[in-house]
Amino acid sequence: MSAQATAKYISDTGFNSLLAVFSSRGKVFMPQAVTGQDGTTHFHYEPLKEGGSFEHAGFRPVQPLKSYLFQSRIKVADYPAGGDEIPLDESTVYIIGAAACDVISLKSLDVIFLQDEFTDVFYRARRENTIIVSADCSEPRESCFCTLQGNTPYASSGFDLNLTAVDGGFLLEAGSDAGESILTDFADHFSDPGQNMFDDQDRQRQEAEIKVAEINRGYELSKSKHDLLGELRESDHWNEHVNTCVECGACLFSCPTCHCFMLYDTQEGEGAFKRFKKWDACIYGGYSRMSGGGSPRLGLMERFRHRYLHKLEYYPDNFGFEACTGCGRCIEGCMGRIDMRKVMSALDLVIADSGGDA
Amino acid sequence: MSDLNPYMPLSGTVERVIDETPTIKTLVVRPEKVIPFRSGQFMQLTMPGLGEAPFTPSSSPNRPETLEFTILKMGAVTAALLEIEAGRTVGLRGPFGKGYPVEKFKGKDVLIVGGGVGLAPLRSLLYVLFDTLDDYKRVSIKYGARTPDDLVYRDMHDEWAKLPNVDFTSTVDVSSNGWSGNVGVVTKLLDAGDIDIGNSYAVSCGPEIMLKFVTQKLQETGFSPEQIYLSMNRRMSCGTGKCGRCNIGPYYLCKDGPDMKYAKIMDYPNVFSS
Repeated sequence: MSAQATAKYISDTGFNSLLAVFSSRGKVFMPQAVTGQDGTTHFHYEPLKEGGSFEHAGFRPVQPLKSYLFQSRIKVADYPAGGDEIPLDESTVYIIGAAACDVISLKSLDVIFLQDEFTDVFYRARRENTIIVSADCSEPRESCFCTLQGNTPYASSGFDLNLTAVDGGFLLEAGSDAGESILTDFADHFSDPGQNMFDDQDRQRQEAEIKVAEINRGYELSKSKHDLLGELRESDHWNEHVNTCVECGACLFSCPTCHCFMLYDTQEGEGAFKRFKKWDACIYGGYSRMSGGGSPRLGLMERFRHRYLHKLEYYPDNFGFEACTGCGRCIEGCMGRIDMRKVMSALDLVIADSGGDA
Repeated sequence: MSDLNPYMPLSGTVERVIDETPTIKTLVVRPEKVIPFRSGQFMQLTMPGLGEAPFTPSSSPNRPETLEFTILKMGAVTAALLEIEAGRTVGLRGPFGKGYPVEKFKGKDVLIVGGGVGLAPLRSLLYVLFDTLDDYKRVSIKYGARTPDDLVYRDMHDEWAKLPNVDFTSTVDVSSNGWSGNVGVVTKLLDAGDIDIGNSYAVSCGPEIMLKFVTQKLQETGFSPEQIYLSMNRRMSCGTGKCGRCNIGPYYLCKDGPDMKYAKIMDYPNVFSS
């Protein structure tokens, strides 16, 4: 059955009453506008307040979707065990208004945390109990580059439900069994969409794609990032891009695909120990420093470069796709104004200037 | 997919502590249930409340009822583990990694090159080779340490040397205490060219600087990168290819190693730490 065949229309007020139903079944998070000191508006995921209504952001929220699935800090063991396992958090969470770049990021996390052997049961519990309602982007930011990454500003798969703003409401499409069930269970909230709504959706999506492409004009590369980086791993040119990096980790913590963490242990009482799993970042010197002080990435340039190699060369080697969705949070969050697109374009020029023989 | 919590340690009881050198001890640990492992696979050993550090058991996988971990004091966790007494509880996760490619060694000359406490993981491999010595053409062990006091398993060396088709040569960087053996770095022992190089594998474990020079020397003497297996050193945490830190290029040592064929990793940055 095509998505169009099962798509439904829901009015704004209808959608808000659907949100109220969701919040009776679980926690609901959705983007809320926050205006910063510089006057720019961002959207943060916040819990739905009673009677709250959905505000369609038109671009990605500040927090990456991973925050809800791979928590920034979580207890993973009480030991010695004595049979007491940590209870898994299997509560239902609804994320409303996720952007396409976040929906597709889950592919990068799934291949890491949902391996057959050594499955991360904590991630899996959150993954299986999170309902993702994505929304098409209509107002891309200067930092957005999903189209450069071969993605689109609207999700084609990976969501439970997807929203496109049309005609005083939304066109709702189901992308999973859970999404189909919502469309069936709350059928009285929906009506059948008219062809004009699908036409409107097509038009909006095309416009958004063109906007993102316009923003990123000039950042196209002459060859695949995988091959480009393979040739330039040892290039001195990396040093030119690292000068303004202050090692804050914003690019990594805000990245929807970064999955690195550390385990650390504490003692709480006589013979009672706990283990926590906490986000970590490869830009930090301590991340790969061994006891004794040695490190394979002692210098900042080596750590900076590692992020590119890991996402754009090693992920394709291991999994067949890049661990970058083009969300642009790393660009927006960087106080050193480092822009991944510019770094890659500059490296591409190195190859071009050397006549293809770097 | 597995339903087990991959971060939860099993308990193990320290049965015995063996003093190996002034800075190295071996903990003999009986896990609460037997943990089958292959030689070269490693475990994360938990010092309760303090954290984990990765060790390849130095004992035989053919006798897994107790696990032996030979530990050099390097950081906070190893320092605490070396203070531990018999009867205490430690945590165990694993085994992780692939282990040594023992099947490939059948019918070959196997050159084992160890440095300092790096003989520990290799001893687990030696026990496996010794159990079926007829399967291998020859096992040649070259072992170096800083001083005679830093040589581990010293009382076993003569026994090993007496086994059929096994030879054992050791050397120290600096002689002391009436040492009458070889003096010099371990790569010197690789000069003696009586190995059938075309029909052999080399396996090395030791400090990174040693691995670097051993790799260089082996290649000079005719080994190809395909024939060299190195126990690579990286910081490790999860053991399962998730936490990210132990990679060399696209390989995670915890999943794909910790012993890596040199040919696989040689083209990636910072193979040997600076």
